[in-house]
Amino acid sequence: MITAEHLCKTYQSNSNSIRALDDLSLQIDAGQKVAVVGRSGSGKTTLLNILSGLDRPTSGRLVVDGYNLSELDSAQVANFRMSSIGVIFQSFQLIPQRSAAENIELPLIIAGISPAQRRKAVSQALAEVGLQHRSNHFPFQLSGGEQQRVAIGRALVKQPAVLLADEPTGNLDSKTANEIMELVTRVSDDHSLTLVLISHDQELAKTYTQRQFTMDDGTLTEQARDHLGDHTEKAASK
Amino acid sequence: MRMLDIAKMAVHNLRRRPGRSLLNLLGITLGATTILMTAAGSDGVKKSLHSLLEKSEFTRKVIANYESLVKESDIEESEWRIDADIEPERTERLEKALKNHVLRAKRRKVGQWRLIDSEALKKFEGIESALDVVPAVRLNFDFVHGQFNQTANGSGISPNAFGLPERIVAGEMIGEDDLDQVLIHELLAYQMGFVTQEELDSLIGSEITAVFAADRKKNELSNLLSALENGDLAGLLEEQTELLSAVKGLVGDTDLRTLTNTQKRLIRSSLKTMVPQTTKEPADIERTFKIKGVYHNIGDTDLFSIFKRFALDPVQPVLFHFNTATQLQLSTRGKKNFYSATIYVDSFKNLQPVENEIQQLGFRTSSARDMLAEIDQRIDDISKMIYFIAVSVLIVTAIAISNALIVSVMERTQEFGIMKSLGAQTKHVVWLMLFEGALLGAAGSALAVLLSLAIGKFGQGYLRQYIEGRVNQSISGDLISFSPIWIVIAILAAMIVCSLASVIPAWRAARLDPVIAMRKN
Repeated sequence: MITAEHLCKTYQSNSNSIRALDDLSLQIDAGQKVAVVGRSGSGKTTLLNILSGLDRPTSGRLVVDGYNLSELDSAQVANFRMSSIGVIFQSFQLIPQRSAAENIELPLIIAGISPAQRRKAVSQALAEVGLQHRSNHFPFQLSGGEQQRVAIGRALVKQPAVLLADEPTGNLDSKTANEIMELVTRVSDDHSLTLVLISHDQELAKTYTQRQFTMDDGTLTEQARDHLGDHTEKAASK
Repeated sequence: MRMLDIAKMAVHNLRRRPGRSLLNLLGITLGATTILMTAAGSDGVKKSLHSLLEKSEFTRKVIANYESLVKESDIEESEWRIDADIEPERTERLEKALKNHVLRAKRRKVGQWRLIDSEALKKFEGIESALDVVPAVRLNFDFVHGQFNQTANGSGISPNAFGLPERIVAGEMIGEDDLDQVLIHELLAYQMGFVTQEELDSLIGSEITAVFAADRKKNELSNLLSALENGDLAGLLEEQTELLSAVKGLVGDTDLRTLTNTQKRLIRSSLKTMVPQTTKEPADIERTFKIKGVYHNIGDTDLFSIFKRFALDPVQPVLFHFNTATQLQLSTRGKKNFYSATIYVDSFKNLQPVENEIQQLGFRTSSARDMLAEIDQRIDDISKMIYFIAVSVLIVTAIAISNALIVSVMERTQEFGIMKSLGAQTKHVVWLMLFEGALLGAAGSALAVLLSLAIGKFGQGYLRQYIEGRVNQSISGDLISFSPIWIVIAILAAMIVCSLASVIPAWRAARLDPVIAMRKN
């Protein structure tokens, strides 16, 4: 489902060159749930932006859901984002002037889906995230957990192949965080989605994903799970 | 993304900022309304004036004027070209002045004019659509009514003279067969002692005597000598055969203004000896006429007062039937030519063909068509000025819209980032912004159309009342006339201006990096 080979991402800042991803390679199969953990500034979000097509690697090859992102032009990348990827952000990224239902509807509008189909899909997504009763509420009228549910509904509504979650519980209390992660893993299972969870929380990652990677200074290392349940690290990159 | 959804999103976005959208709408509405009202007003007033004049009888006439035989093309370039080492502007100015000088000098020479004579009058009469041909005649005579005796002027009028029957205060208008009847001005009647309506009525049918003095020789000589002093013989414009041939014999092709005073004195003394021998002395003519009616001047509130140039038929104290007046001028003063003649035409639409025929005969013409063209030109000039103001309003509004949309883009940076992260393409964002601008334009122009129609509906009555009161005539047709073409133009202009105003904001929105844009939370 996701194949990354020798990905590099370098940012130029004045005369300095910052290498955010350093020869990163990765293979994730369809339906797998993986987590990328690491401290702030380790390159997690850069990796997520590149996987979602929001950013481009400086070098390397990346194939997601059959799309070779290195070879696509900007319109094709936009099409890839529209059809294959669902993203959940830490800060929810809802449009404040649109209701919950309208926020969920937005990707369908962008995809050019007819209003009748949109209504049906939005209704299903709202039911799936348990927010039918809040469909006409605006983001400022919703709690943090509810806002993240709307964001999950928006990510799911177009039935993507890959769900990318960037610190989805970062702004939530622990109880709500668990509820949200339960929801994310449940919908991933229900829709057979490939889940990539970006988090700084090792425990959360271990609880809800099958494979965990550690990101450090742009390099990725997979943590192996032994028969006792302990984790050891093996190099996933380089 | 479907265009309909983009349009819906644009509407949604505009509704989210009602205050700003309303202010922008106000500007567009104002500009588009000004364009529409100017177009509707100028079109309507033009149509009404045309209709008013076309149905007015007084416009159905053509004035034929004498024409110079010397054309601009008759002047050789060598006569006016200046070859001097001076500034080009000065050369151009001098050449223009010299050209005029040469042309005028050539025209001043004796016999250089095509004058309206009896033969020309007959040709005018032969023109289809011509009702009457009335040469411009000015008679000078002694007016005698009982004990009242004073020098008076008179001219000829047609029984078809437009606008005169309405100005008769006592008696009636002269008819076709009233060759020995006259109209007199109410001032002359007052001077005669007839003031009240009863007194004026009593004047009708009474006889007057007109005595035309046989002083032609004296007058002609003094006129000629005066013209000589001024160096402008063309000013006489009369075919005073003997006198003119005498002058021609004396001055030949010389430009009279180049003559020295000594030369002029010699010519004058020669003429004094020549003229009495070559002219015949006509006898005084005494004719009796009956007063058919008393008339008054054009009132200030009359429609005619606005179009005096074409309405002024009779202005003399005594008005004769034009055939009588023409005959009197020819027999008493020996004149065979006229400065001008008025040709009354059966309908307004025939003015042009009649003018064409007269021009083909070699005379200058003027008619109400010239006046209409002049009025149209003035209305167009004023309209252009108002259009300029309207377009300025639209441009200022466009700048305001552009500014408002740029602010809107800055406010919605995160929104555009989210849209792009969800798969929106650059073109979708561009279309969205352009739609917002175009929607403002469409809504503003639609409001402008409604507002203009409302102003037109309610303003029509007041405008009509004012103008009808001013011209003392009822006006047919709409004074504010909306043309569908102008409505479409106003709508398109507003939409294009607003769409153009949203190009820069759209470009800025399209350039946003979604990753950076989403960080602006």
